[in-house]
Amino acid sequence: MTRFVAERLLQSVILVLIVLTITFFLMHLSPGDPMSRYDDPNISPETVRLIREQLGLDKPVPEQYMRWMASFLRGDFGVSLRFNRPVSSLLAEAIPNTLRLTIAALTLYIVIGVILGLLSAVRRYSLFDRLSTIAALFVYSIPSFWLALMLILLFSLKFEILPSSHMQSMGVSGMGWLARFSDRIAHLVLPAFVLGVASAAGMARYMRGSMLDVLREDYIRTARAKGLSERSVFLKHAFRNAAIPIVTIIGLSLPFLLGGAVIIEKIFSWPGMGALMVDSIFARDYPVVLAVNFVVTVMVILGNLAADIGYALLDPRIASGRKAGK
Amino acid sequence: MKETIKRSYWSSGWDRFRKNPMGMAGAVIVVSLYLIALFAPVIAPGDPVDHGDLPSMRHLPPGGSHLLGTDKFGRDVLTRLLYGSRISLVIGFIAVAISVLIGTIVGAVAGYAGGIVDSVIMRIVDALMAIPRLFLLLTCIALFSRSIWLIIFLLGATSWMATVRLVRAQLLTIKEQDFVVAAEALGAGKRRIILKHLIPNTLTVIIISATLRIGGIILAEAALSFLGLGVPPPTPSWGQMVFEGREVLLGAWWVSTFPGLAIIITVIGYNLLGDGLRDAFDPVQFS
Amino acid sequence: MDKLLKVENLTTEFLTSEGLARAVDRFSFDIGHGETVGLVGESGCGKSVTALSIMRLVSDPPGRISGGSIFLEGKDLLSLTEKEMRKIRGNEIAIVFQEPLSSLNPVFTCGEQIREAIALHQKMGRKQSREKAVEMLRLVKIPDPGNRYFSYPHQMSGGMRQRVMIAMALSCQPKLLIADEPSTALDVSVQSQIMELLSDLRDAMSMSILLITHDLSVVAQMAERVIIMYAGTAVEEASVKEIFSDPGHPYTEGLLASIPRLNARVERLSVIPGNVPDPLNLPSGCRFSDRCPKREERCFAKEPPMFVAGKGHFVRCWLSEGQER
Repeated sequence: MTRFVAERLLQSVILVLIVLTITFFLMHLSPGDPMSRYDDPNISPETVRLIREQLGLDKPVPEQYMRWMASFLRGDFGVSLRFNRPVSSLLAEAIPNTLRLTIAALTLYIVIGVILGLLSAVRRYSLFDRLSTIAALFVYSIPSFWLALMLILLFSLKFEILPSSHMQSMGVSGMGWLARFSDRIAHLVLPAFVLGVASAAGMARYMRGSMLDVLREDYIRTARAKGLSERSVFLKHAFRNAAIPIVTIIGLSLPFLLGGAVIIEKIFSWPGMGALMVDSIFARDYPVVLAVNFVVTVMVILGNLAADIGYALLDPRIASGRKAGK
Repeated sequence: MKETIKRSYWSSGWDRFRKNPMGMAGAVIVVSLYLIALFAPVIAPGDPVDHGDLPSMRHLPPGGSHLLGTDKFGRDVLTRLLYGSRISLVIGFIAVAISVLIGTIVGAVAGYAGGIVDSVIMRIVDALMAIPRLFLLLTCIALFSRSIWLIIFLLGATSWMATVRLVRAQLLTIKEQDFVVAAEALGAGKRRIILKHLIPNTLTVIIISATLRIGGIILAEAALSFLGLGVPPPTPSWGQMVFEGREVLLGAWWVSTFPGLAIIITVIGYNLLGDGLRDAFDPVQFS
Repeated sequence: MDKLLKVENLTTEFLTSEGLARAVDRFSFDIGHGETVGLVGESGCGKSVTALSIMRLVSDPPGRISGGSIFLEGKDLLSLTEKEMRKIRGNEIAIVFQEPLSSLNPVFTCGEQIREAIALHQKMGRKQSREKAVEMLRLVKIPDPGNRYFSYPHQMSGGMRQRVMIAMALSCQPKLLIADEPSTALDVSVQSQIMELLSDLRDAMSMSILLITHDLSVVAQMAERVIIMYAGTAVEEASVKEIFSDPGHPYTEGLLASIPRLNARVERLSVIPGNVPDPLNLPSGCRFSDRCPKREERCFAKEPPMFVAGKGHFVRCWLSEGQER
């Protein structure tokens, strides 16, 4: 188990280093010299030279790479061109908001997906199963921004029961704890649902397939031969096994969720990393763009690491190292 | 001998495909879309960029001479929808072609070379796959100036990683097969072996996965256009049309609704077609 | 003498793409209290389907018990509700399957899988049922049972896993144990240990065993009576002694002749040419007629009934024609 975790940890570190290198190359591809904003007749060439030295831009590229990498790993992502503030402080505000949204979507999609998938597996080939197959195909094909607009049209504009933007209402700070909490939840419902719904469809399909595979296993017959109820057979013996590959699927869905957050945050004016990314692109604020890209990727890598560890915890065969290669 | 096996493989696959109503529905949708794109000028009732008589033409509801209504510039939504199919289809097709090309080459090199080259390539692929697709796209778009060809290229250039894994896995199995070992023993050059034997053998798998990927690429393009970072206006693009209807959702719902439905139908069409092809031609590989 | 288990005209069918296949066809037999009966036949003859039918575990769809009755101490199992049947499974009738690895759930400890059956049928709390499970592990001679309780199936050897399966099956003192090829999947060296264990436990617990196997030599070790099954039904039934000394059915003779050559893992008879017929395409008349070395004209005309060939000895063959059973 320890060895398995150590291996995965090392792999994750290597991945982060590669992503860093890719980011460095992208940065050098970005148009313009970082010094171009000092292209001002009022600044003396001598000052420019000093700044250049200060930023380490006079050093050879490999050295620049090492210095830059060290500072990135420390969380020093430079200064935003747009706000003239450290990028790290912008991220410190945006990251929790994105996490709140994605974790809500993640929870929602796992719960919905697992329940629908289980029901489909239990009632295989029933009307419900067929309908959910078709629904999954349909949901996969819906652009999230369009779904978001349609739900806003329905729930925010027509029936006015759910808010369509921001994380909380104006003037909510004066209210009691419960009112503030429910206000936050209300703001979370639509974006989290839109963000999670496609993954829920995928999860339901996967859960169904995984359950049906497991239900064919010999040990399910053994469980029935013991006299266990169908409920125990399904929820204890089958589900525990079917859930193991699901953990990997959750890990794989992270890039998808975080990518989706870009659009959802933009539509629902959610002040997270996705919205920050899009605004920074329009403002040509490269340091922020690269930093957000890097941080999001590290989040994905950490998420996958967590999924791997979860997999090992759920599957005793990995914990004892027999299936570690798989 | 080999020829007849090949022919029966394709014809039996085609027989299986024809019997699958979902796959056929997908094929019909996709073919119809290409016909619409091709004949857009003939079937469209108006001009995609013609403003008409503002302000009387602005936001007309569906019905009458404007079947799906008009947008805020008084342009006919149906006409723009029909022309918009061109962008989606061209982008879907070319971007996937680029992605398949890059993916196949990289995958073939990794799979054939093996050893350290393979490990390095695959680690880079892993790293690229960890970057959420939309973030990777946006980062690239941020760095370059925007044009339709750049968008197409980037859509392809950011989605080839899955193909690498697929092609590499196929190559690793095929590499061990007798005829490749024999060809190498006879002194055929490495590159020749790859081109002559390996790539054709993985073609089915590549085509199927490419078809299944087109839907995702069309969605990505629509998302970019919706964010205002896709195809520059006034070229009609479905994603952008949805965006334009955003401010008038309640008053003129049709501006956003119909292009969204068009995207859904297109993506469903490609997904059904891809699923059908997969079930018909490669039942084992993916099931 | 009242029988523990009485199976009458059991018929189990499977819906296949080519039609309704009768895997078990009007099969009748019984098992007395404390008796061990061997059920012998080639693979595909319906032995395992019979076992699953008795447990009412035939997967439906595609399978279905379409006729006959199964009495356990006079109680018709086929008329019980699913809930009542669950009180029988694992409690009054238990089963040990062929493949111990795939038959044990990989994500639960062996002990937990035994404990679960005990807690279910004997209404015991967690602590009590755990102690009982450890005791069962000790009973099947697993060393260090207190620690082995926490082992997962993949951490054990094949023989140990089968011992766990046996412990699980016996944990509620069943009246009838169905052992479906309990040693076939194991190493040859372990096979006899498992059979010995089963026969020791049978004597200690005074239960009945239905021993399903393709290997007559296994039956010779353990059983008192043998039923030879072919293409879904019994073709001969006799005491072990008589089967070996005076076989009545040409199929039984073939089985006996193949004993020395039988590879324990290859369930195939080299001396009888051909295979068990597909239940969808039974030969006309006697179901063995297409492979039988002694076939005659009449064998193709009509299927023979069970004829009495001696005391408790029945043969389904025209060559033994006489009084019908």
